[in-house]
Amino acid sequence: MNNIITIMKKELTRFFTDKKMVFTSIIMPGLMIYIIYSLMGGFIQDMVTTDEDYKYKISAVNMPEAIESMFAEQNVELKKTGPVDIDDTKAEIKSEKADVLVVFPEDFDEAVSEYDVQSGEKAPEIEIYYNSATTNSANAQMLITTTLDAYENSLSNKFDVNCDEKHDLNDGADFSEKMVFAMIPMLLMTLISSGCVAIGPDFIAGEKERGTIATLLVTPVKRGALAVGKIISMLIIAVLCAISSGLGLILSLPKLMGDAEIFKNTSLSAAQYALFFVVILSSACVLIAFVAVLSAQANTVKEAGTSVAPFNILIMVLSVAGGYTGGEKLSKFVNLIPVFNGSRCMSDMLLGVKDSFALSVTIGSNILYAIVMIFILTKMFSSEKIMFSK
Amino acid sequence: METILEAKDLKKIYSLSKKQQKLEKSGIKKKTAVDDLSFEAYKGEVFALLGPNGAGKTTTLRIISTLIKPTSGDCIVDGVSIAEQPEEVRKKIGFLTSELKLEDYFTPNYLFDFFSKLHGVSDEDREKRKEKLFKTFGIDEFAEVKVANLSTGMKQKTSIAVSLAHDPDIIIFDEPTNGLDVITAKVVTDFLIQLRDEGKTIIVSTHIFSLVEKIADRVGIIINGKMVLCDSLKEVVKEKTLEDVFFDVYVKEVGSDE
Ligand SMILES: Nc1ncnc2c1ncn2[C@@H]1O[C@H](COP(=O)(O)OP(=O)(O)O)[C@@H](O)[C@H]1O
Ligand SMILES: [Mg+2]
Repeated sequence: MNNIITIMKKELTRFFTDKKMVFTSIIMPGLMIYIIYSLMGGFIQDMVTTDEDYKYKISAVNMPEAIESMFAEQNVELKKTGPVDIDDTKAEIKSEKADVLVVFPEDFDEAVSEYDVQSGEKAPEIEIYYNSATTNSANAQMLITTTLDAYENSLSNKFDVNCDEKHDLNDGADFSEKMVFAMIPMLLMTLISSGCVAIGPDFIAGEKERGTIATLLVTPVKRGALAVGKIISMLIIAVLCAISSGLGLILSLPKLMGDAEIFKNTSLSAAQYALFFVVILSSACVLIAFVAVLSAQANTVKEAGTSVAPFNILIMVLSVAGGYTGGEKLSKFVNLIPVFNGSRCMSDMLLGVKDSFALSVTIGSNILYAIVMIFILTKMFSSEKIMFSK
Repeated sequence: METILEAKDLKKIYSLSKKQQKLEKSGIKKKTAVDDLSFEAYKGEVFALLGPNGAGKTTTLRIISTLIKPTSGDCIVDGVSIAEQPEEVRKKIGFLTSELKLEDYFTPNYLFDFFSKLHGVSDEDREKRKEKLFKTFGIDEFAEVKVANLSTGMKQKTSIAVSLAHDPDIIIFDEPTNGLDVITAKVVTDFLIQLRDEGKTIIVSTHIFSLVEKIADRVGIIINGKMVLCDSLKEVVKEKTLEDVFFDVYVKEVGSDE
């Protein structure tokens, strides 16, 4: 145990007193992400911003005069349709040709005036259909809801507005939302893995190449202590790299997304943040242990770099796939796939899906993989073929 | 005389990698580097393994330092078996070779402390040892200079100091003067004699006759992994010079092979 700490101290001293190393592997990634995303954000904002003169295309069925007049001064193109057109209009909203459909019950005014709040009966209901995938539709829906709210207040709550997720005509996934929620885990994963890849080859293969590992091996230190000390030091650096990248990401997100609706809906509790971090940490453990094994097997830093490189692509693919399948029902076993599982869990959490079984499988299996790889690394440190290959 | 190290029938067969097989040309898959080698070292002596390149000296010393495992045989170091308790053996020995490198990034001072900790040396003992060893090797004024900026000789001397931080009773030194300039080489050989005079047991390997003549109490001549002669230096050089004795046994050994 003492030896593990001594080794970690040395590794971390080596790393943190080297300003160049700290800058390139910890400060740079975060800074780069911040700069790139901020720039990209400005670009996207320009594309997404709706022009001021846009008139929301609202179709209404049985809309009473009183309410119709409320929209008169708004930027609205009101189209009155009959109940027979409802399905057509919904299709239009899906295909983004129309923005919102408001359906009032027949004789709405009468129903409202007859309705007694005390009676406990159902109030007259208004249905609003929209498509959350388009900004215009979402904004139009907000406009109507707030207008109706104001009207409702003046009538002392005599009707209900139905506008929940079932009225969202965006089928299944909201693409832009999913994009972002898939992107965040993917980015975090790839950032951690690039951190691992940046430091991994030098940490063990470098020591073999320079002949300094043998100096350690003639001390009474247990091979296992050496493996663990190395891996924890690498992990600390990789996690710092991930944190820096994460900070860059979080700080640049407002610029990237503007004040997109989705982030207002996503608020993680402290416990969820902690879980989020545990998922990242467990994934980082797997990645770093894996890179450590590859590094130990190589004889030179260059060789280690070459053997790690192909896995970058695999890690990218797995993390993208995990991010995109977040929130979707898949076999529970998919959470046994490293990287994929972490990415998927993060995406789940961002989407508000709670699946503690999947979470436990993910964290558990990742820790297990890491332990197995530490064991392999220990064996490698004891193997003369690997440590003293000519 | 008290035996402190006893190598018993050490054998090391390397299985050659594809690359090594090509280099060997003959296409053999296995190489016997050490072949049933036995010898003893007595407490407080300098024992020299003398042999040409490729004789199996480095392999032998790596086996008794527990860096590699013998294919068969065992070695008892101060009562501890290398096969059974390698970590215990490593506590008792200091293994030195020019192949053991120090990390460029650190200073001799830092590295001395680091290796002392790994050896479990107390802070008090460490400071005493450090003062003594740094003085012996003239490392004092370079104690805070990064290894990368030290001269080759200073690097080697630092490496020796660091490897002896735990004050081992048995010192195993593979080719002590290899790659050293004459001045550093003298510092090192003088130091080995000084250690012997302090009661330490020293086992060196070399292909240099003069070094054996200068420092060894006993000598073992190793050829093709076999110990062909093992006796006190005085006995060996009674009638002929060490060089002559060596070539006699060499011709006998290699000649009988062909
Ligand atoms: N790791 C290894 N793999 C295969 N063969 C080796 C290895 N190490 C040494 N050998 C071979 O074993 C023999 C003895 O080598 P070595 O112990 O280094 O001799 P010496 O130190 O006396 O020069 C040589 O033929 C060498 O090529
Ligand atoms: Mg040698």
